Amino acid sequence: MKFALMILSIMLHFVTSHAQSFLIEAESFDDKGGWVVDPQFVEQMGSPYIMAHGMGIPVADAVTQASFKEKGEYHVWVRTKNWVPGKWDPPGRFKLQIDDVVMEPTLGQKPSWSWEYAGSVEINKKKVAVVLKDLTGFNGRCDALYFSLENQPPPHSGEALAEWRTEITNQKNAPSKTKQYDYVVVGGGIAGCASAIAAAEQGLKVALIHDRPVLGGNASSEIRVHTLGIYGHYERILKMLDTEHYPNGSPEAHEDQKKRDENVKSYKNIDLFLNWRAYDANTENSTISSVDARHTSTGERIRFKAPYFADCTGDGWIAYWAGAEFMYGRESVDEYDEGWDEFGELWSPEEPDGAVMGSSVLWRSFEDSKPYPFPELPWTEEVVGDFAAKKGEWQWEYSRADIHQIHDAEEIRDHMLRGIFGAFANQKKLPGQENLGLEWISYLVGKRESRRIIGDYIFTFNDARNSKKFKDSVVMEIREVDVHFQQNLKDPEKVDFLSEAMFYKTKMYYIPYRSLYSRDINNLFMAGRNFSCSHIGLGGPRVMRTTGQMGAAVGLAASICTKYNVSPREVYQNHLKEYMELVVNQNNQAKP
Amino acid sequence: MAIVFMTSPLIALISEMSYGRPMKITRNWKAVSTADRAFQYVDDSTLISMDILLLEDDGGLPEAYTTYIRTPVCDDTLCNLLHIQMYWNVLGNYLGFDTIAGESLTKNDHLAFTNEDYDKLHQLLQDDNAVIKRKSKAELFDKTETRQSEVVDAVTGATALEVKEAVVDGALYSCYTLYHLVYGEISDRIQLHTEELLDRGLTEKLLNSQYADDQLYALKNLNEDDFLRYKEIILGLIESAIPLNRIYILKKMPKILWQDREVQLKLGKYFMAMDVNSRTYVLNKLLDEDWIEPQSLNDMANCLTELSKNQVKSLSAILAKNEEVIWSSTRMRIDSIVNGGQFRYDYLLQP
Repeated sequence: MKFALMILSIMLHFVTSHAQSFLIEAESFDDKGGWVVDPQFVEQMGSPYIMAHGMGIPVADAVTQASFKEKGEYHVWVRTKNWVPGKWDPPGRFKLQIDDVVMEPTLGQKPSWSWEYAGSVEINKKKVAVVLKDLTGFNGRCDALYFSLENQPPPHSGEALAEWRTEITNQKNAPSKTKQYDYVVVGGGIAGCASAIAAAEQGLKVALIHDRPVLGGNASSEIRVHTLGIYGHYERILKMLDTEHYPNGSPEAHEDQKKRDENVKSYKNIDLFLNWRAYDANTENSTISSVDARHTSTGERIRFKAPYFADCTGDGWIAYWAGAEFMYGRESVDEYDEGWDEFGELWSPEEPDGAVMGSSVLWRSFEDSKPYPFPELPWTEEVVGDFAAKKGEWQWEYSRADIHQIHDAEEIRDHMLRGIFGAFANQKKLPGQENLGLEWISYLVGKRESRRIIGDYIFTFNDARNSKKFKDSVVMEIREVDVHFQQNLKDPEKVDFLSEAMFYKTKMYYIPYRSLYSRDINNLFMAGRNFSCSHIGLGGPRVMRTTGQMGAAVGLAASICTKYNVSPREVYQNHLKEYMELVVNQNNQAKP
Repeated sequence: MAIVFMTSPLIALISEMSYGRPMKITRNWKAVSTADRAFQYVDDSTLISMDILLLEDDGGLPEAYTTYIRTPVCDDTLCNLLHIQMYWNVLGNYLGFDTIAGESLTKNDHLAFTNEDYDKLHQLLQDDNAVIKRKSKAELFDKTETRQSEVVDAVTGATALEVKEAVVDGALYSCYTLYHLVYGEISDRIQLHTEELLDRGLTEKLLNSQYADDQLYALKNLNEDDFLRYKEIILGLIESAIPLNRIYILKKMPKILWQDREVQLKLGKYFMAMDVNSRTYVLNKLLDEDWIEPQSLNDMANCLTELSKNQVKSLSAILAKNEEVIWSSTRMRIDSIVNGGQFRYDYLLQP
């Protein structure tokens, strides 16, 4: 049985354009060893990839069995990148081994994603082991391998590569598999989970699509930010999903992970699609008919059809693909009258700009019982200087005027990794640090701010500071409005990956339902950091119990939509009383 | 240490007083020879009245504000009177303090502050975003159990450990009271008072100040004509200011200055030393400009290897748009970088 599955798997993973050439997606390797699947940057570089995230210790080999239909001398290209190009040995070096032959070139050498030639190899049998051998433990990465009897590399990048890839992986047509639901939630962070549960409890058949193996997004055991904020009307639901108040980065996140995953899986009418990443929203007449998603390892595709969708992706991808209008960056102080003299330009600038709150990569060290060697890392020095640290909390945050939190997310993550490895290397040079070891470094970017989809109402700072009540208030919060800036704006001597928080204390404030569905797309809800708000408006409710409230609120709204076959806007216009009763009575209801 | 003892009855005498360097001060201290009462402040909770005095420099321009603070500091059971002379700059930001003869600050156990304690207090008061700023007294002294290792993103903010590290050991109440006096209503009212005094003399003084908050305050009050009037000072600030102020200037600088040859030459000259965000702004702005000074383009091209990936893309677009004015030496320089095999982003510039 296992053998049969393996054959099936190989057939799925190996995509053949011609008999004599084929592509192997690295994320589809049968045994990934110590390499991790990274699907965060698909929209920028074209595919999930695997990465040797060994914190300085080379990871175990990734191995797969390749099937060759023809014998002969195959040329081999590997799509990879040198993630820190410069006057030093590339940190993410690795080798390709084919059966017993270790190919001569060391890979991970060229800046930017490209095909590196790994040499040619004589293939005399049908099944051959393909092995990726990490040399450093410092985040070498491999997207795909291309074998060909012809000495002709694939297109380098851009549209030509995308087209070639679509062709060779036979993905020109719509996904052959289609599934129908009442409600499709894309993004399994706290908002997405809450939305799926709330809708499922009202009897909807729900698909929850998430591109990681575990739920929770920034709160997951992979990123480990604890949840903040209050429960509002949804304590019962949110307590199934939230975290304890442990320090950010704590391994205690695993306990809450278990709780969260079990709770979501306990709902029979939630179909959970873990490791599936959406890549398109098929839209006509401002209405989404379906969302297409791809498995992050096997490449299998499914079309999800539904009358209602929720964009809980954080980055607002569904809205983006559907053509909804969104905002990004800092509005001018006058746009929504959001000034606060105490922090002036740092809070809200006179001229708008693209300098949003940054992303974090959390990390921890530990005291080992024996010496823990760690190498000199010249490729970190221009980032850290002599800055030393033994852990990274929320202040480890990166934002810059010329980098975009979505388009440049890989650069942000990699810059943070340089900061982390460099600061730790400096710490190790201090007296008494011989046994200090790296316990955990996230390789996922924990984002604070990205696209904000425009709804019928744009929530702003003034709604928070004036405690404005709405007849459709479905989210409530008392958390301060908390906006960050990079420390080096005030002190250029500081490293560029540390931030500082500005807190504006408020009384209870409220978010209206009208901020939770798209103004432009008829059947699209949104919950999470991509809800309809200004840059400063996001400062308070971006934490995860609050985003969870948003998720639950739109899950309930989806049930009203379904009941009356109406749009999200019509819930506000024609069914608000019934909807608000459903909302405010949530905590009085037992789990069905 | 200069100690000045002032209370309301002495107000008639204060214009005659001179102020020496306070015990703790964040800036170079300029001698101030005169003082006028700026306004009176009455603390809501204690009903204690304080005279806030304006101190002037020897040119008669506003230099600082000061007051003698005498306030009760209470813990659970006891109240003591705290005496201190406090100083603000003209923007209402903390400047320094002085002790009062015979009235040392004390800790909970009635021990006098040590020199290290005064240093710590000074350090706390300099931090305009200190952890105790966003805490109410009730929150600060919350007895509920907190975890020592807890450090959180935002809200709940500080922990017992963070607060303990920020304040003088054994003087939490004094530190808290003083901090909120320094950054409370007095600070706001000083700003308002200065606003009324802001004329060309004070504007120029602040623009020429070495301190970032002075500069930004003055910059925010400049209109387009002022930018032209103070062009030389503005150019100096573009070179020397902190990133926050530099980017503010660049964003506010009127179009006529972006088209000014001298300005563009200076931008090119300072480009290498600028912070990354300002460089980005300059590049994007020049990309939109109709005209660019070839020397500036050459200077920026010489910084090619220092640029970020996206900045290289912007520079590449500027070069493509201004091909006819690129010097041959600039072109050769770029070609040698692109073909030298050492530039991390050479692929972005290859045809």
